[in-house]
Amino acid sequence: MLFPLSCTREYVEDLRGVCFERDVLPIFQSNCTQSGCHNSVDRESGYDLTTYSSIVSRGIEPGDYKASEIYKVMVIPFGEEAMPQSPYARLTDEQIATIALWIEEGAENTTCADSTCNTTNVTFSASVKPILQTYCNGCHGGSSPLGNVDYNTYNGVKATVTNGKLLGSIQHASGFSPMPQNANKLSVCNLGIIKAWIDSGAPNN
Amino acid sequence: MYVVKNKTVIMNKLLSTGFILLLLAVSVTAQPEGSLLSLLDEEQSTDYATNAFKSPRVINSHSMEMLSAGTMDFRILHRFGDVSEGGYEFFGLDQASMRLGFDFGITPNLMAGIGRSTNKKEIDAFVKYRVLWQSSGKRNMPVSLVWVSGATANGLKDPIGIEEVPVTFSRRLAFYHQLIIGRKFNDWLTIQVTPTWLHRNFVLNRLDPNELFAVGFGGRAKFTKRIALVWDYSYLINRFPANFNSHPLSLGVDIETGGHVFQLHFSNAVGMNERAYLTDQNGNWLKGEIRFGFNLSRVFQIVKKRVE
Repeated sequence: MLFPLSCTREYVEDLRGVCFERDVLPIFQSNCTQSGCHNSVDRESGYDLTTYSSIVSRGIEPGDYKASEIYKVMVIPFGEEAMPQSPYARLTDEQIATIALWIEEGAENTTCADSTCNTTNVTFSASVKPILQTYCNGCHGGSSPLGNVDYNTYNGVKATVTNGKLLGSIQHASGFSPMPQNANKLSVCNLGIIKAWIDSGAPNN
Repeated sequence: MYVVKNKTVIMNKLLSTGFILLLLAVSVTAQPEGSLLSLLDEEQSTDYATNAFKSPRVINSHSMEMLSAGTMDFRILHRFGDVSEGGYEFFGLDQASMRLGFDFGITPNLMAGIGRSTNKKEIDAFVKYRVLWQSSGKRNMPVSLVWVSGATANGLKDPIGIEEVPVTFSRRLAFYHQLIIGRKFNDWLTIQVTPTWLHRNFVLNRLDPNELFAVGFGGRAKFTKRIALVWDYSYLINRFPANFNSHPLSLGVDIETGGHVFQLHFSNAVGMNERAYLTDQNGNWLKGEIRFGFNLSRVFQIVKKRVE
């Protein structure tokens, strides 16, 4: 009978709201705009998910995520409509929740400055992996990662650190294909975090 | 700039009502059998359905089966990594996750258990009471009705991961209540339906429901004396995101050898307690995001049987 005594119904609310530019746009760019899919050239099924204005122009009902086509296709189980299509990995619950919250808050073009950029005490699991998850795993994750670059595991990331591809691509250095594709270069802060982690020997921490 | 808010608290009342109902059910059914038996003055005896399942768990979820009084069931549940990770990870076997548990049979109709999982370092405990026992003969009862109530506590150092939100004990907790309605149709087929209500004290955004409702469908088809096919699926009614892929589905084979029961199975769920397999993000069966697992169960008699 102890149980009901400690029963609460709490949830976390981010007073700043969802930041489109930082939290939502990268999910679309990383997971939906591959060649042949929803970029400004191919516009598969009429969807172009590369910029704010093109994203909200179709399939988004501001304030009602359940009625939004873009939310629906992310949660239906199978069939041609289910997105992202194989072989690309489906979105994580967290990514879908971010998009749903953003739609529910009115699907606005919110921008935000990274409050503080902390490049000290950088770890793989807490600092680097979330960035890769957001910007890279759309293509370089899932069951058949593109370009033989597999960011599902630490070892896959480490391999591209060793051959220099990771840093070269995200810094848009010559001789490397610039990454993320169809999207802006990573923010100065994110680049700094990855660089700091590589400089410290790219440990699996 | 994160704050913690509260949703309405009507549910607390419902929860306490649930407990009162449970107590009521216990007191009603705990009447001595004699008083009922004396009503019927026939020599017919009552046959109770036994061995509806080989163990008190189907795969992930509780089954209509109880431990017998005075026994302890030492259960080690293993779940490996995604099969789809391929040969390098030995099809997931390189990453094992487990739940270690002790279940105790207190009376023929009452059992309790405690377990600890690798996943989220979570501790869980439950009480399970058989309200009605399927029987035929003098006392005819078409189904067994079993009530389960349990709690889970996340043991991670920082289960929330947001600096501004302090971690309190109550924010680690979740509770569940479950009604198992099961019937052993014949020696080879058992089917059960389990309406479940899971309450989480704390969720990470306002769209995620604190109260999650689910209906489980489990069953067993026995091929031979020692081998049975078991399945276990939960339909999550109001999960957020409403991702059908995450509904836990497990298929397995139970093998009985002496005092051991081996349960070999494939499941898309990582977690092995109610909070974990119902709310965590599970794999997609269609994309091969399933995991191999096996449960090992050894039953010990810890209290000597009374000599009648």
